[in-house]
Amino acid sequence: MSSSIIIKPPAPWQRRGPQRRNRVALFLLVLFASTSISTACEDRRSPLGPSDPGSSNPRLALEVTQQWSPYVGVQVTGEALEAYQDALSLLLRSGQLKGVRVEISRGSLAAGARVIKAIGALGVELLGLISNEYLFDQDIEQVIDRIFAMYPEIRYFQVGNEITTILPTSGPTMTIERYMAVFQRIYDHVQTRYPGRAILLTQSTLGFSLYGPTELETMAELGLADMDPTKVIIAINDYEPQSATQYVGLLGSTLRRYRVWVTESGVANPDAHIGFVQGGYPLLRNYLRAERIYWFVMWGGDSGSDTDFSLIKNPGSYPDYWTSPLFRLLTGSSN
Amino acid sequence: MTLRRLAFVSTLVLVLPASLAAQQPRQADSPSQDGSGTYLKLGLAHWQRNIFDSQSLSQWRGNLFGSDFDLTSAALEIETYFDRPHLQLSGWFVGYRKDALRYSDSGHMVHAGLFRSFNLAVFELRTSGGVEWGVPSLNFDTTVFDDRDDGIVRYNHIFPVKNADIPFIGTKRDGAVYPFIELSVVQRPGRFLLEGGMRINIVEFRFDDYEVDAADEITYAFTEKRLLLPYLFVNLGLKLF
Repeated sequence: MSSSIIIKPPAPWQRRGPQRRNRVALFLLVLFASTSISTACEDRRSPLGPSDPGSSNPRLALEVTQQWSPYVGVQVTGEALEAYQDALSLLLRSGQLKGVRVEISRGSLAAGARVIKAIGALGVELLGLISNEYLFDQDIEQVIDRIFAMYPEIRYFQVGNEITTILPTSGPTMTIERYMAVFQRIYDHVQTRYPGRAILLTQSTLGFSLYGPTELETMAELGLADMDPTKVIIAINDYEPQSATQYVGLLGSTLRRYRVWVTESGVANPDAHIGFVQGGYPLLRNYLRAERIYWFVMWGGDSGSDTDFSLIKNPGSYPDYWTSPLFRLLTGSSN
Repeated sequence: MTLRRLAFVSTLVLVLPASLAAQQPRQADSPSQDGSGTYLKLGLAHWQRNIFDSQSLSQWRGNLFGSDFDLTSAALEIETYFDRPHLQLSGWFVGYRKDALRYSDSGHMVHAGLFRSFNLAVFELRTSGGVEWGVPSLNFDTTVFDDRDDGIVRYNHIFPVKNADIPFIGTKRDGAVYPFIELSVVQRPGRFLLEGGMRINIVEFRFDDYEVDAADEITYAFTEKRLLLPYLFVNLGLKLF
């Protein structure tokens, strides 16, 4: 079957030479491509908002407090206790604090307990991070018995943190397979010996790159997916909320029934703290369905890599310690 | 209900062009002999921002380029017109689309499909169908929380089902594959190709409801639905050979 062809007189552009047509075509194609890309770039949703525009802006304060998750990580340091108590009380009174994540460490058990109990006495809920060093103990069940006896006020216990990435290579390290064997023992022990006593959180996997998600997938394959989702919460440390793609599929399939808490998040720049809460926290909730996001950290030391995550600095100079723009905005304080 | 809508839209897309073509003088119901060729196309697409308020075309909002939109995509495609119809088809295409350019980890989709072109008086009307595969943009994931004063936390998590693997990287279910249909209007003046139209991706979504009470008891309500995700696109192409 042949189709008829209608012959039309050539259009003006058809009468020009082929070289010129090619140049015009190329020009238009490039113009269209650049327009497409620039227009597409306009839909960027910046995860970072304006940097510290001041706590005097009530609209900004409302936006930030709406996104803020009232949970903070506190490094257990006795020298900062007075400043901690003051800062946490300010957050509590402002309605911006419900819970605190603290590390239960073997090295300073008694001193640490004093700080942890002082923080708990403020009326905040505690998430106890059972330090990585405990997980090498041969009798992990006895360790759990001691910790549970020491902290009857704590209901949420996290078993380890970034276990395969944070331990120095000079000391003992732990594979995720070995970790899951320990976690399974703790889980079994708690369900048998202390039914209903505690909710366990997994060690926090890292939230950026492919490492954390694939590690969590391995944890699921090694028994996590068989545990009771009402007894276990998935913990993730995520400092790059826009890079959660690999978690999304996992949390929407194998680990669909499990709750998710982001146990560390933040940015190492005080001027960007507010913007991170505005832009990053909604992404963590959206992508990871994170019930809670713990800000890292109340005080990360006055020097070193963690210091600029801090909500407060120079706690030794209490009551004249430094506070970050985010802290001031949350508490409505001017200093 | 969604299936009925899907059937209705599919019927429209597939039957309407044929019906229109049948009403035209029979100058060419398939690509003419000089209409064959391979084109390189660059495209721009615009999606509706909140697909969850309007899950079908019947509820699609009219303010197409207003504030309800914030997802723009750029696409690169190669398509070939046959020199004569094969199995009633006029050609094929393969392409790549990047959704939400800011985020490099997601919004990478490749697609392939077949089309049928109907020459009308002043333009071609084209119907297409195909399959898309890749890592969907995270713009389609949303969670709405309701933290109540009595300690109960409720949230609704909506996301496209990850039903495919992206080999060699990441986790096992990190990708999605789904079919799509397209209706577009095409003009091919000289070496150019100008196209505008609508694509409807047919994507399975999960709607997961969680409720956690103060005693950490958790209840779930999980449902799945196939949603029609329409977007508008324009393409500019250049004939390669």
